Amino acid sequence: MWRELRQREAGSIRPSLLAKHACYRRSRSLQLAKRKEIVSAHKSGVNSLQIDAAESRYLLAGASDGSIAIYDTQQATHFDPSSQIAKHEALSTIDRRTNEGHEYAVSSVHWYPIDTGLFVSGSFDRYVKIWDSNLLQVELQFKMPGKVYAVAMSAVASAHMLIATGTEDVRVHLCDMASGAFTHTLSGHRDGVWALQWSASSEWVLVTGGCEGAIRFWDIRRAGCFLVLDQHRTQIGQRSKSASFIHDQAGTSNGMNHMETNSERGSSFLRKRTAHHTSIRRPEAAKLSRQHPGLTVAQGVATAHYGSVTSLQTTYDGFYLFSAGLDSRVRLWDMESGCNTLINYGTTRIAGKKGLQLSFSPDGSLLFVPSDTIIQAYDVWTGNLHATLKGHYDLVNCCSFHPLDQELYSGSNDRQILVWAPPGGTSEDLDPQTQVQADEDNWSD
Amino acid sequence: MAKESVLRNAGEEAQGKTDRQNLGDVIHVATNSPHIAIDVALLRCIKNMVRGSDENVRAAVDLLMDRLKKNHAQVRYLSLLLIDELFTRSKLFRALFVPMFETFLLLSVGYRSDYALPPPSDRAALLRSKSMEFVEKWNDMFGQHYRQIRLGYEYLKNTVRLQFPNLREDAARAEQQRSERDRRTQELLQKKYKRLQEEFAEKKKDTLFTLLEMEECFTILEADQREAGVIDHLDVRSMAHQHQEDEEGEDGEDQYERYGAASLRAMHEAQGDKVLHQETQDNAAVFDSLRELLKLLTNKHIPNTQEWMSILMRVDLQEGKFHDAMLKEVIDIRNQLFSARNQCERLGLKCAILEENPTGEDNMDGIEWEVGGVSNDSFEPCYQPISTSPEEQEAGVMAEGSHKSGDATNNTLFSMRKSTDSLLPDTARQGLLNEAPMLTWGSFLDNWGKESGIPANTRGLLLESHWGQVDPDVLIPADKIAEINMRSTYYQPQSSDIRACSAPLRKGGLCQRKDLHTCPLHGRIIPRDSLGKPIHSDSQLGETSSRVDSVPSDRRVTSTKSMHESTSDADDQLKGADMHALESKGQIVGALLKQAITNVRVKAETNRKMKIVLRNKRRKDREHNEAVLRAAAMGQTSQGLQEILGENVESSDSHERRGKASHNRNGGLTSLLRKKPTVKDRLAKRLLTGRVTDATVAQLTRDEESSYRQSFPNQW
Repeated sequence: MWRELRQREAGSIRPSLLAKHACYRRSRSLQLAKRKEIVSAHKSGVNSLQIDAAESRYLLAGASDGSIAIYDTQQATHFDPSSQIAKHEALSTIDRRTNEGHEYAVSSVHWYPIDTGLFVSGSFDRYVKIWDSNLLQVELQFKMPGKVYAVAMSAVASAHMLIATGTEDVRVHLCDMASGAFTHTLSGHRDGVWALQWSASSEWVLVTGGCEGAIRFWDIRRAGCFLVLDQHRTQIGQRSKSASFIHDQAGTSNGMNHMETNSERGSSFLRKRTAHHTSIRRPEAAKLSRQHPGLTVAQGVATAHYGSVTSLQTTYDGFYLFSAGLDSRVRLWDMESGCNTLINYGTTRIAGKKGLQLSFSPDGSLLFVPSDTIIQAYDVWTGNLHATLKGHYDLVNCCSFHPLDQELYSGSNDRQILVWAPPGGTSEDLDPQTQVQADEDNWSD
Repeated sequence: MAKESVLRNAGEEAQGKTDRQNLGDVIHVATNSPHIAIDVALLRCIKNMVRGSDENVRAAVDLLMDRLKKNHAQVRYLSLLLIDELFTRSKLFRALFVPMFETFLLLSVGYRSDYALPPPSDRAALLRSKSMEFVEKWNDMFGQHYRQIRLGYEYLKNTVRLQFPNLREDAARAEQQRSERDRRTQELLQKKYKRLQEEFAEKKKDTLFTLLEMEECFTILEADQREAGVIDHLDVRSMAHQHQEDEEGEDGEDQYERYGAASLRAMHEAQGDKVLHQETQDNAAVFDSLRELLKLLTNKHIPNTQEWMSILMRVDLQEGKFHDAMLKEVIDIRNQLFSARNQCERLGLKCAILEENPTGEDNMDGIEWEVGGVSNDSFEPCYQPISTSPEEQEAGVMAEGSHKSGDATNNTLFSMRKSTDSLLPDTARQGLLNEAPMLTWGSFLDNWGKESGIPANTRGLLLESHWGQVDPDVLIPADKIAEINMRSTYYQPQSSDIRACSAPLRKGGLCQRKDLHTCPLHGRIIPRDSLGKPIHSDSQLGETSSRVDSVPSDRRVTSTKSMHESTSDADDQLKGADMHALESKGQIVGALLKQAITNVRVKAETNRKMKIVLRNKRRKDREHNEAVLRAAAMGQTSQGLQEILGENVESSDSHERRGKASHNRNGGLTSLLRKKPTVKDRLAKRLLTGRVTDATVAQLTRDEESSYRQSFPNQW
């Protein structure tokens, strides 16, 4: 660390490289945070966690008892000097008693991507609600035809404010926050939709994963889906071209992207979007449109998993897509070619009756998969198990990686939200004397 | 056993084995016992080894987790105990163990139904409760440093909602309650103390005044006595008195100290002279006042001082000076009071006072006082004169009554004797007593010798719980009463001692069997000397005949019939022989006698044989009958045959099992796993065999019932 700092001073390594190395090391040494705790305000399992995109500061959590809480991940509300533990209590809580609060389990929560003034929650009581996070009031609500399993908003959208909702229903509904009405209904799945993800590169592309095991790509400007992922269409690993690209980007723009301040982010998104959309997406769509109609039928029955697709997660650069299914498999898809990259992530145990949240480190090296009561950290490109995070006592539902602090937050059915941090503490450097005093060898004989 | 060898191995380092292997062996042995606790020697050995190096700690963690995964609750339980021992001691152990905490909880608490604890169930319950206790303890001790422990504890407590023993809170609550109680009593005591402070001076004056008066009385009495010329060491006494009188006007404390000294001296002197003061006409007034004062003393002052003392001893004060002084004063006053009382007692004034206030020592609040030993002898003189006289009269009356009736009962005999001592001369009484028949006590004695009848029904109770008319005129006549009260007695054989056989035994000593006629080991019982040699009295004949004659009548009754026959037969023969012997002495007699005896024996022998034959025959008959009955019953129940078969199978099974058990005895753990036959099982088994007999009985009753119904169709 010190050597690298000196090298950076001397100019022998670039500053971004130093930051990248530091992030890499930190995210690889995660363990249960000793001095940071989130005091869960929920009386039931935590289903969904999200860190806001604007400041990367506020953590939004939705739980099975219908409660939603916002935690500050930076500023502790309570600090216990004797044990040196910083406790982060909920800043605000919404639960069943709140006016217009969700009646049943909140399955999914999502920050408004531009700022932290709004958030969206989807619940098993069939409502999707849009909340003002300052007033804790419902601004808008949409009544869905069935239980809502997932809500998603596009992080890169500049031309629309659509909330994609995955429900029990076979159709995916798009709710327009601006007008308060449903704009689209995307039909194609044969069963409920548990997982949704907007493309990180194109604001018009939506990826949905259904209970029948299919992952469909939709261009919301067109009718019907344009791509169904097939687990048998494969390619080995990264494409050579994009591999170099990814590597570059991980080194430069991607790493930069998330270390940059908020104002700069918009411009980088814009740059990326234009680049991808013009150069890559176009020919793909054109190719599909020229296909024989019979082929689309053949594509329509293709499956990505042998069970429900429980979660979808695109990488930050938008090139790749992770998916996990009830067949206890995690797959990495090349979004360009729509091929299974055949990276074998080790044995996982994915169970449950609702969607999960995968998470990965922003440098694109680690993937965190909730697997039963543990969280497994896989190396993205080799599929090797890097670490196992043990701490929960019940099924882990979701995990969310803090891109700036290299901390992982995980929510589980045991009602806890655990913080996994690199050792040594993040902000507080505490004098170790106090701790040693009580915790030492005590051999009486 | 294995334990010793393992310990030896562990002790010797130069065995070629690594530490890890040694540790593994020791842990294996330690956790592989059926006992409820770990062997102390093994535990010490393990602790020493683990303490030795970090490598050993790592090994211990692995090994213990391995043992904890065994599918036997006992092994897990012992491992848990070991883990606790190491966990509370070694930091490295904790650091290594905590990441596996979830697994540990799963294996020891078994909070998930799909990971239930293994058999045996009693040990599993023990394991669970113990592990929960440990988890709570660890959470208290190390929860701050180990998040996993805290998480596990919180999860079990809040989400799974297991009931933890909550030892710490309980202890804290108990402590709090106790302190609360203490505080309240202290408050009360403080209040009392305040009051005492206020009124102490006044009461002290009061008490001292009483004491002074008493002392004066004593001196007057002393003076009287001296005049009588009994004692004349009075200089000390008078000096003391002088002192006291001189300083009467001075402040209380000083005066009272002198006074204490004086009274103590007085007491000493009183002990010295043995002569008691006598109450006479002259000093009656003094005695009266003394009595009054004593009453005041025991009823008021002594309890008061004792209460003060208990308050002063229990109250908890910051400033101790005044308190100490006060306590000293109170103790002195108390001593004085007791001495004054003792003096009074010596004057013979105790009884009256104690009768009036026997509870003087009771209100002591559990504090020991050295009073003691007064009440017992003080009560006796009071008791005697009061109680004896009426008793005597009563007894006299009763005695007269019994003499009239000419009979005495067992019960009244005692009192009668007591009373008649004075009424009758000794010899006459003895004669009467000898004549008098003895009767056991009974309800008939109520109406003994009654001439008149008894009213039949005065209460109106006809039968139980039924009321009828009351007719006061109806009498039960006396003869009827006598008939009702007819006594029956039962024959009670006179107990007579049976001689021991006392034949010499081979190992020394004499045979102690007591039989009537024949010892089954040594034959006929004959009189023997102290060494066990038979005493041949001058003639065998005389001895036998006398013995036969001397058989008491009751023995003859209880003896068996054949014996009776034989003896009587022998009797006849012997009588005949007797007559001959009277006529002609010599060898003929002996020959005849022998002949007679052999005859008798032969007869007895044949009788016995006949009896045995008969008995055998009867037994065979019975067996046959039982077999027939059993077969019949079996045929009736459809399961009968199966039961029989099952029983056989089971019995053979149990034999096998017993064999196995003996094989497995050394294991210990497996025997824990085996299902023990519960009470229910045993009952079931018993019932199953009992069912056969039940069936027969049921059949018989059914037959009986049907015949009964036929004969009495209108009744049940």
